[in-house]
Amino acid sequence: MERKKVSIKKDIGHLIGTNSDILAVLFMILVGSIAYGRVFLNYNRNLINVLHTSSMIGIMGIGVNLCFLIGARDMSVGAVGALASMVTAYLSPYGIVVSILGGLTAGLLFGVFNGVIIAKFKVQPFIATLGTQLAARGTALLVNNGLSISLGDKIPQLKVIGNGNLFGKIPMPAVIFIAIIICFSIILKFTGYGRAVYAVGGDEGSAEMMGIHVDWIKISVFTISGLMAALSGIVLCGRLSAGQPTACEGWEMTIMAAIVIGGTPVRGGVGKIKGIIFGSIFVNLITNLINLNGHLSAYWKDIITGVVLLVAVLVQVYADKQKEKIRHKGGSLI
Amino acid sequence: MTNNKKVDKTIIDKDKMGLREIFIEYGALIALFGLILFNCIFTKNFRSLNTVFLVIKQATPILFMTIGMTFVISSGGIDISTGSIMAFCGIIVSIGISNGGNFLLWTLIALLACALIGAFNGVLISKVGVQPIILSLVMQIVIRGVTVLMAKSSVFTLGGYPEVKFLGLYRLPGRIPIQTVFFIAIIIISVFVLRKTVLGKYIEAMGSNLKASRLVGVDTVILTMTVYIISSVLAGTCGILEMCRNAALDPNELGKLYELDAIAGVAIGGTAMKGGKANIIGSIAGCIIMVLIGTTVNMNGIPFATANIMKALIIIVALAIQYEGRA
Repeated sequence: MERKKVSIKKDIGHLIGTNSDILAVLFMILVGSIAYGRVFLNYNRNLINVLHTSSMIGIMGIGVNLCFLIGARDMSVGAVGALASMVTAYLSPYGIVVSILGGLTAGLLFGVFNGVIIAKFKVQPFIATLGTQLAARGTALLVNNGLSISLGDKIPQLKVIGNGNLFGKIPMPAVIFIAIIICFSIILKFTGYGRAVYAVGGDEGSAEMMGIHVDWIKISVFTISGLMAALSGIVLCGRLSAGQPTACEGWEMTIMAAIVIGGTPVRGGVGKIKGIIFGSIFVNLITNLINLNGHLSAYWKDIITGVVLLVAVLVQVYADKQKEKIRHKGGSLI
Repeated sequence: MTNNKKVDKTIIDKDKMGLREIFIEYGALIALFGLILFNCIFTKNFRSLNTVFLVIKQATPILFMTIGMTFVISSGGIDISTGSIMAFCGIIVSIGISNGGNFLLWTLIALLACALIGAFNGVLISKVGVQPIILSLVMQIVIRGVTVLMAKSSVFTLGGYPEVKFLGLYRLPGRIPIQTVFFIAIIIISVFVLRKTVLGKYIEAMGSNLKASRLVGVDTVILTMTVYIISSVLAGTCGILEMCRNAALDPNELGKLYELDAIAGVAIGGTAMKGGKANIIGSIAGCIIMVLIGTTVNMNGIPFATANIMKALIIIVALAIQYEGRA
């Protein structure tokens, strides 16, 4: 009898623990509907915008989430996204294929560069990507002397990607986002490559001994991160109808908050990629609620996101310590 | 017996110092010398005393932050909230004096507030076990937000206050800017603390092996707190000096990307990024290099964004060389 109770309690605890991201989003929706009612819940006018922005942050977040899985951080994504948007807008006279390929190439180059210096020269990922952040932002500013480039009426297809809705209800960025998430979920779960990513995150030394090419995994993960950042930048370029050299500033932090809330721990080796979906919706709901208020300064968004990230990390650290305690107890009993 | 031989051999190897070790130890000084030589030859109007004074004037604030960062990094952590702390400290002083307060008093209050932030960082990192990178990233964003909210998004102009003018523009006899005094003072103090005091040795010990230093009786919690307090207070001082130099304060912009320059200066200087070895002279040289790159770019009429790209390359190359040396 008692055991059953305990197990039910445990199950509920487990359910809450694994789906805390969904609960967090539901909580924000509840707060929003209480505070603003219909204005907040109006799908076509409000919530669809939240989905638009969340998808763009989410696409960029997929790459960063992969980096989290191998226990690294990529701080360069925001700047790489801005560079990709600039390159895309710069190449827009040559047609959509060339401009999108150009943007992706920029992301690819920076991603490979990050990967090589991190894997081959053993530079700490955090500091290396801080460096490339500077370089990417600098290059983005140099493309048009610090000014943004308007798309004008060139490549209207890109505007559809950035602004359009599938069936009038689902934003195009969200479609792209979900498609990529599904791909990566399958890759991570069922392919050798995916398992290798987790292995590298768990313990590099053991992964190496198991015959995994750790360097290659690291380079590929950072390359994917660069590509995803570029893709997000291209979508943003379509949404704004312009390439912005100062775009995506501070997105790294928002993305980290989204990932941590999505349930991927900062230590690497564990976590699911799909957590980023609700994580990014959550952080964007914070922005949305503050914007709807109209009186609060936009800086409250940063403060609240920061505090939420800190609390989420603290909870993770606490949970890790509890687990370790249980493990120690088990060890002494044996 | 064989063990003894091995130990002896490593000691001898260390004494010998290969080309790489020399490069790590004195690389920043060599690079600084090279950069100055390059400028003397190619940059117009570089060879004048005014340039030296200008560089000292610009380098002094950031030198404070770089030295704070050297403490943090050699203790095995990192602090990227320092840029925001600069603005935070500046804004407290600005609000204080524009409401008629005493400059010195409000400086003390502001530095105390910075120390509190540092203590908070230290406790969370050492006692709770949050990763320094994540924590200081959060603090960077949150403190920036708080700063702008405190300033109500407005820019302060402080040209009318005599203390601000004194700290920013005063020149000693011989046209030496007042910043030179701080420049020399902080160098002497920091070299003394890191090289000659127990605190400096403890910090290096903690950076190279946290557990071992705890086992030999170092109170790592207090020590980590001290390190982050030093970093925050130096960052705050940097903010006040920079505010005085500009005679104005933009809560949104002051100190942005400064922490990157500081980290870069430390990295070039040969301080091990994983902690355990502080190279304070290298950090000072690295900091001056960072400022000189900006000066070089500006004096030659190249867009400033190029400076960022150059800095990024320098950081990465410096770190890559460091790794080769360690292997």
